Amino acid sequence: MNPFGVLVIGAVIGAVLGLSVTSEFFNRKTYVTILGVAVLIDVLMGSYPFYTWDLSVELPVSGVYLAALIGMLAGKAAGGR
Amino acid sequence: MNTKDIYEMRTVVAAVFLGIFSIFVLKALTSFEIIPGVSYVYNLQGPSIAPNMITVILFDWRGYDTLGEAFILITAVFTTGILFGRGVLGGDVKVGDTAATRQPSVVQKVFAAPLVFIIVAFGIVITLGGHITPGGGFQGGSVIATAFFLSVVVFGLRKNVFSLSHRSLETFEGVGALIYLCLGLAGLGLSGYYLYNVGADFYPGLGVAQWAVNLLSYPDATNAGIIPYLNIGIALKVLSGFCTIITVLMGAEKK
Repeated sequence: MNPFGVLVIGAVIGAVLGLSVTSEFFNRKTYVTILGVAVLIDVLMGSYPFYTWDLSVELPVSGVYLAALIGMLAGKAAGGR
Repeated sequence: MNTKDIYEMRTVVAAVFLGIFSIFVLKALTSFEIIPGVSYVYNLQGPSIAPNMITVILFDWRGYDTLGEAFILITAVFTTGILFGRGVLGGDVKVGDTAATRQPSVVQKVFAAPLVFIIVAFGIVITLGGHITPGGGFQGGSVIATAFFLSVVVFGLRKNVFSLSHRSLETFEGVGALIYLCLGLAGLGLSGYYLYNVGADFYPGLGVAQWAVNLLSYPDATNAGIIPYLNIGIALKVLSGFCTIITVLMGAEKK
């Protein structure tokens, strides 16, 4: 069973916290930097926290970190102050 | 009966209760059976009641320990509020007045905002992996709160990256406590044991309804039942507790 639910939960928590983020300190460069660093961190973290994927290829990332971060960005875009 | 008599009476009552308590403690100590090595118990029973040993140690046998930690945190928040919070909570100083004591440097400005996102996402990962890795709600909530600390320290309370109002913190705290309470009561109501892991249902003989098991199964191959949900609740609670403390302390600084 693939842990899609975990990604959804991570994104939802991220979105809830993202609602409280103010826009004043961010611009396009900041977002690009955040996403780039997030991909790097996710790759370096490897499969942590060790959710298993039922796929024919072994994924180098768990995806939870990226899901949480994308959730935060979505939450901020939806209702950030 | 004057004040002196009341004090004397109170001392006598306290001494009686201390004596009764001491008798029970001595009886427990003399009849206590020590199994050689805690790991023996964990190794014997652990795999049959939880996905792995970390989960066993963290929650299935130490769920109440986490509840105790939550109480300690609440006490810490209360104490900080009573000692330092008069400025903010008493209305003498508005939160809006407590700006950063000095302007952030360029490096702080550039790095603080992206770091908030990165730290919060890491805190969420730690929270969601708490049942299969060393981590959990307390650690994850602390890491998320660190992002708030960083933001407040660099930008001050009035305008910072994380605009968490007192009402938001109250909501997080309430939701976290409710998650913990409701999951505990669900176990009590469905199986007879408080905090019973309904979603995993390691003891089918207790007669937990299948719909309840399905409802609280965690969407993961290792299905740890209610444990990840407990982690989420604790994370919200710890996050709000620490954020309240830093809000109060920052307010007290300007008083």
